[in-house]
Amino acid sequence: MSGMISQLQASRPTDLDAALALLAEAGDPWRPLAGGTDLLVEAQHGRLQHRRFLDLSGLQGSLGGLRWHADGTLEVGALCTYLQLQRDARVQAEYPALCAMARLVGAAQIQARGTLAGNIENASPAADVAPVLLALGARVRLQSAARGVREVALDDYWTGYRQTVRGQDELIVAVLVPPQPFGPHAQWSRKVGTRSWQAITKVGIAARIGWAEGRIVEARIVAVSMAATPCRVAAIEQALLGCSGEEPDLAARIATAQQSALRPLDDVRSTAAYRATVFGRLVLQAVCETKGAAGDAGKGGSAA
Amino acid sequence: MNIARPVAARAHVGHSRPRPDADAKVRGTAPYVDDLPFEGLHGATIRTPIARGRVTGLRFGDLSDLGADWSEFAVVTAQDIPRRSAKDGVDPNLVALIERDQPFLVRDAFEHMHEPVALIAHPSLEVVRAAAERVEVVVEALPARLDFRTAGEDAVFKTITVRRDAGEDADAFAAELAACAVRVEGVYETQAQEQCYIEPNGMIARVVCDPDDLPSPERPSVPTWPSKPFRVEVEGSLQCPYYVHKALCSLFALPEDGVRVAATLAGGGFGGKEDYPSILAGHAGLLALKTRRPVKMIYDRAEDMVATTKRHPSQSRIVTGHDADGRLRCVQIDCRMDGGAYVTLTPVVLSRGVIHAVGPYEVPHVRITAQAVHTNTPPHGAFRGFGAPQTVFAFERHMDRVATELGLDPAELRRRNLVVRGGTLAVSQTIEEPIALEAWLDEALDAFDWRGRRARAEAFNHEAQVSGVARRRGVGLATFMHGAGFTGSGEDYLASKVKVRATAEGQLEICTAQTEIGQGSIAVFSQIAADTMGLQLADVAVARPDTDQVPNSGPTVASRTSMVVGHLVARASEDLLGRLERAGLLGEADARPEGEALGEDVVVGERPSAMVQGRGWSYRPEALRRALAAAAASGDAEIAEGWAQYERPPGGAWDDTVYKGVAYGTYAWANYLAEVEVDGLTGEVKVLDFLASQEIGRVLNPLLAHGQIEGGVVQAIGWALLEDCVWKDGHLTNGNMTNYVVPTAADVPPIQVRFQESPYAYGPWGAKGIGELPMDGPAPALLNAIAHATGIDLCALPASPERIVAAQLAAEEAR
Repeated sequence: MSGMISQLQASRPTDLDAALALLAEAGDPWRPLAGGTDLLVEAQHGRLQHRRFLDLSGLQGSLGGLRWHADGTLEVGALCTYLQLQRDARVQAEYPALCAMARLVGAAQIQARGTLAGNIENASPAADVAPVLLALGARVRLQSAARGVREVALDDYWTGYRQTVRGQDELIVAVLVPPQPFGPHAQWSRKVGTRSWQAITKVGIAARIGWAEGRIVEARIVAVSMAATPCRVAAIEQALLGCSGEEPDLAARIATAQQSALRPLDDVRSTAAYRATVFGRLVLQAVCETKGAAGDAGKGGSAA
Repeated sequence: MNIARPVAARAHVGHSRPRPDADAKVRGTAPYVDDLPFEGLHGATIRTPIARGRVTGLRFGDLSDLGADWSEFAVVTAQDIPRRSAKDGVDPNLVALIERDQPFLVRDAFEHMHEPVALIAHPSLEVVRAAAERVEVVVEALPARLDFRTAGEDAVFKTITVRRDAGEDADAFAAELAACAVRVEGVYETQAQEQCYIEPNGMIARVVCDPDDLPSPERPSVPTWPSKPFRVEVEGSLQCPYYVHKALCSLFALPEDGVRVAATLAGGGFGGKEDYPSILAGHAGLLALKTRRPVKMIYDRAEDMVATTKRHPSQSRIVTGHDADGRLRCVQIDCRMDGGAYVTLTPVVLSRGVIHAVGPYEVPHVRITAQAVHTNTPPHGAFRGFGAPQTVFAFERHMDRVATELGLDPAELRRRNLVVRGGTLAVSQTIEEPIALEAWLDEALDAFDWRGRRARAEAFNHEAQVSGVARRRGVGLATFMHGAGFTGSGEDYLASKVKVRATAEGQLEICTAQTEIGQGSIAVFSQIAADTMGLQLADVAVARPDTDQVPNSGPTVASRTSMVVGHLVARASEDLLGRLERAGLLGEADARPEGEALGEDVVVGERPSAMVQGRGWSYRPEALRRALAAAAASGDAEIAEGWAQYERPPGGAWDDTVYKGVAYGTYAWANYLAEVEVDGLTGEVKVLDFLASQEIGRVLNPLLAHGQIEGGVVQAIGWALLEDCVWKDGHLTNGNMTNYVVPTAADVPPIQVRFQESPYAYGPWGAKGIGELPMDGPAPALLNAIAHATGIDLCALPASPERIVAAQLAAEEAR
């Protein structure tokens, strides 16, 4: 049953404590509102589940921007937009997959408003940037008035279709991306939508594949639009370990591992058969291209 | 007295004059129907929840959380409409179109999902929209027919047959076919397509009635139908003011002057605002009548997509027989189109599809049977191309499959079969105009470097295969034509009229029922009239299409605006010039002296058409302005107005009973070429390059003509590769711009547009219609290119990544 936008309530606190105090209130939950790029679509389609909205735009001071920790961890503030992220030179150098996907979110207007934290909390199985964060081993920092701060690995953050571990008194305050052990060349992602831009992913992959001496020594493979949430595919990750990428039966091994782990659906955007076939091919492409990149990087290194 | 020398000239026609309406539209200041100042009620529509059944009741849910109460609403159902019209005795609830079978509001039985059952109105838009979702339509379900391909013969409501020579007799045709050296068969399917005009449907209605029929403190509620004469006035986004006018006269049992229909600026139409606005105008009018207040109804995108018309889905079975060298001897086509729940415009769509089904080829023996079928989906309707894109896709895809079968270059196969002047099309129409299809084909092939590109694509693919790269390139062609104007005797029945009139300011005002839907009709009409009279563009204005002010010049459809109505604009301007002369308002003293420069870019010696004398530029512009002002001041319509009515060009007639004869007065002829790259991993297709070459008689405005072609190509790329209507139980499940995927700028290749000009004697300065043409060719050109790239022989649209990957897997399985 849909209500009317004029009946909705919004509050715009200007410090974090006030925001957390509102979230801790009993009664109708407050829904945090950052870029609004998902929320306004829900409103337009009459699908808003909430009646109270916590406008975070007054918290730029505490939740905006990017910071680098001494250990090389990237801290992305909850109000950091895709545009701010992709414009940062160090992010471009160290997390190229993150920048590449940030450039494919919606269009320029969406990238200027949408936030990484919002992309995580929206918990769409077709998310663009959140799966890359999962492949890179990111953590989510939550804060509440009563419980203080806690950090949750993205692996554990989504609990089901559009479900997260966030309590209704909690707010995402930052996303933490650790330094990458295999550098930029191990990162690989690809989004397959029906058109070039402004597309919703019908099948996608985000991966980190570490190579040493021509063998895969680490694989984090994230499937997009293949399950209720973006998810790592442990069976494929294990199947890839130790591989050289030259195995003649590699495609079959990936397919077998995938079959046991993923059950994609037929829906309005694509078919289960297409998703299953193309995802297997994307894994293989990720293996080949990260291997090539690792090799080129190695050569570059020896030449230097 | 006629002192003017035949100086016919053109200063504007053939030049890229800007659209007078462009500035405000680009700045965002142009007011569309929802932007107009409005005080009144907002209407909303209550619709059926399933594909077929009977309505047994309405349940009005609680509104207390909205702060509203049902007593604040006006509600209209079919019960508000009399069962027999006082005017003509038929049920006024049935929309007056080709057949009267579609109700404005469901009385009892319904035939598709989202069919209108009730209308509600309230002063608050937000409240009326939320309240509409609280009304439950209680129904009894009946079995629905949802697949037009498998529907039985009882679902067929229109059949068209075309027979030529041996095709007249089934056995003789079978014998001819059996004697052919080569036979090729195929089944081709096309899907529904949404018009996706930027501005959804919208309408405002007002009722003018006697004070006795208005509510008062003593009598707060009045009967829906006034006791004394009344008038219904609507304005909105539409293509055909006089279609809406006819529908409202019938619904409200009013005389012609009892209804006024005015077009607002339209944010696109593409056929989607050809027939549907009649229904929306009826709805707004009913609410306005019931409440005696202005009522505005604007659909949001979701409602517009699920409830209004789309392109007809189609299936064509083609069997062709050829000589060993590829020459066509026999064509058999069995075609079906899905009409949806009601007849609406489907018979005409089917007709146009049939007439274009064999393309610009000479075939001795033809046997076409085409059927329109009812299903329980919203009626399919007009969309740019109007049946032709479906059959052109089928035949042009088929021609490439024939070329593969024969081992012939696809362009060579076409060249061997092109009709020549004096030759005959499948519908037994002899081509009288000078055409040079072979030369035009060669020109297009050369401009695209057809052979070189094909060879380079094949080399690229070989290299890719060797190096394990999944990308493949291919180059494809489609050769086709499109007839402009109404089919056969359609223009005779329309008998369109155009008026031009002198204004007190010394200007010329053009009065037609044509609406500017993005095609540039205001600019082009102005250019035609200015050059016919010898005026500057600033001296010409185009009146708003308003049935109180403009004559019925027919609908804004069928690529007829520039060619048919533009020609009437030239003739009406010519008529007015003669009246000014006969009234003595122009004389010897006003003549432009021999040898006087006509202006920098005036071309002397070209006639507007065979039916226009073309004495423009005989007089000095200031003399013309003075004469126009004097004519207006006279108050005498005989002097101040010029008129023209459609006259059929000389030549053969069309026989609707046997589908033979002059189907269209003229055709535009085209060759479209595409190069694609297919990603073998994902099945995604990227269009690398595109060439659209066409003969269109005369280019009236190069910039606008390029725009028409480019826009049509992009719309057709969407249909060919991306757009698909996903139906479930008669409901469109992707009725939003998120999941109904139209191309963006990033999906559009460079488009090279080329024109040949072979003037048509009965179009203004020789112009033919071009609005629909570019929708016909891209889909087959692209799928032919995909087949060249990959060997994947797709015969159904869209060529989605899912279809391409499924075809790869099927091919692997077969190995």
